[in-house]
Amino acid sequence: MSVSLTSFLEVMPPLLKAAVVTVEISVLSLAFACVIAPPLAIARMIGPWPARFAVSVLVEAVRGVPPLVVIAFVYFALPAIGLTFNGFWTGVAALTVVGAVYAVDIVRSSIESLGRGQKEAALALGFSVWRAYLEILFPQALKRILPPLTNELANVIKASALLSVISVNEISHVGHGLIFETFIVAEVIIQMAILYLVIVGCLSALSRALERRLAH
Amino acid sequence: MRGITKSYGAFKALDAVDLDLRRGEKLVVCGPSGSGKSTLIRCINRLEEPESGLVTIEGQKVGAGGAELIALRRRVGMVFQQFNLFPHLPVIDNITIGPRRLKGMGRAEAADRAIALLERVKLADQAHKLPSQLSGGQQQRVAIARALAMEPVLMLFDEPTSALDPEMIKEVLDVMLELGQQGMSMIVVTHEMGFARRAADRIVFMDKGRIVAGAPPREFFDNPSHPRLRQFLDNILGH
Ligand SMILES: Nc1ncnc2c1ncn2[C@@H]1O[C@H](COP(=O)(O)OP(=O)(O)OP(=O)(O)O)[C@@H](O)[C@H]1O
Ligand SMILES: [Mg+2]
Repeated sequence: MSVSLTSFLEVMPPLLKAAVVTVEISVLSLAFACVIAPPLAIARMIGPWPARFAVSVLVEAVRGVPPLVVIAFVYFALPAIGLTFNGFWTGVAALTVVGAVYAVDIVRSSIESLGRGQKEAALALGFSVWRAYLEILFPQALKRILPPLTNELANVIKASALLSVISVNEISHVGHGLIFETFIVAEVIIQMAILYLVIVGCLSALSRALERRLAH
Repeated sequence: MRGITKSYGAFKALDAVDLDLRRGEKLVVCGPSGSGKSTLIRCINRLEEPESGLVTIEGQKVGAGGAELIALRRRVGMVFQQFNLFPHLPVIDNITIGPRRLKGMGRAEAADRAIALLERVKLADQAHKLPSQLSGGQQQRVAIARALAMEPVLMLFDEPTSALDPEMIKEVLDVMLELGQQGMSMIVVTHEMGFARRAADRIVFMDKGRIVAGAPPREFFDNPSHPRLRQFLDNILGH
């Protein structure tokens, strides 16, 4: 299998366009996941029992199935209750749920590893339980949350490749199409790999920068 | 407090304890390990929920939860054996976080007052360090400043010097002594009998979840009324 520069350049514009879609879906879903995960995690720890139960069920259910099933569920099952998403927003919704569910467990175990004294100190000062978790314990746990969370979020980015099954024009779907239209194989695959590496690499770099800031 | 009872399973950690504190009074609580000293002061700000009994502070009943309890905790400072400073925040933010987040105080005012408090505990030069960069004695003094920042009417101390090396104990006790001289109401669980003698208005002795003796320091030490107390004092003072 030989690699030619002309072929490489030929498939570059459509793949770059697809990479933009992958980035958009990733950024949106990771951002949403990071926003909803802490309150969900805290609800699971100290919420009233229906909230704890609901979050537990969601977490166990989503963790127990492959991301592809979550995508199919959002795409095919939710329209039955009147929620219809196009491919792009199906991707964002499904990956948000997948990312959030993994993040919930990471946030929870990190906060629980802090020890009782921190919570008690916050309560004794006069924070409500919720505010103690959100304003004192969660920020403190961030340092422990970040490394495992980055791993999980990288997996979420990679799972965006599964959106090709519902024809979202992200890297994998477009790459596949190109291979069958142009019979350029190696150049497409190499470029796809590079694009994923760059995207995941950006996430890691961002996470490391955050970690450094947290460490002062 | 009246009739405070707290059990863990079948075990009564506190057995119908009554205790009154006058405004400005300094009370030292001592007793053997497991006698319920920590449980007692943790029932005051409801870090431990007693099954029965009543706590009132300045005429106000301490409820089981909700806004009233939170309001009350803001007026009762607590200092823990393990300091429990917030390790991710510099010293100054440990002190300002309460007033800023809970009382809506502005950044500049909160910082000014934090510096004043740090001067009071003789740590003004450490304001921008992280807690982990301080010695245990320094951390405990920051913890005292953090509690004082909420302008409490009562301070609770649970063995504030038990986790400290001997040479740091005095610096913490000195701060507490001074605080008492300034008129703060205090309940202090401690084995530091020298401190109790100098600072306390009254000392109570707990055994098996009950207060079995209570007297001003002189009488407490010179004329111990209870055989368990006599034995305890013999052990601790090495008579
Ligand atoms: N969470 C808990 N679960 C079960 N038992 C507990 C719990 N907390 C305290 N106890 C028990 O209650 C009793 C009183 O505990 P407490 O901590 O108040 O004692 P203390 O007088 O402060 O002792 P120490 O000097 O060791 O700190 C002890 O026998 C302890 O084993
Ligand atoms: Mg104790």
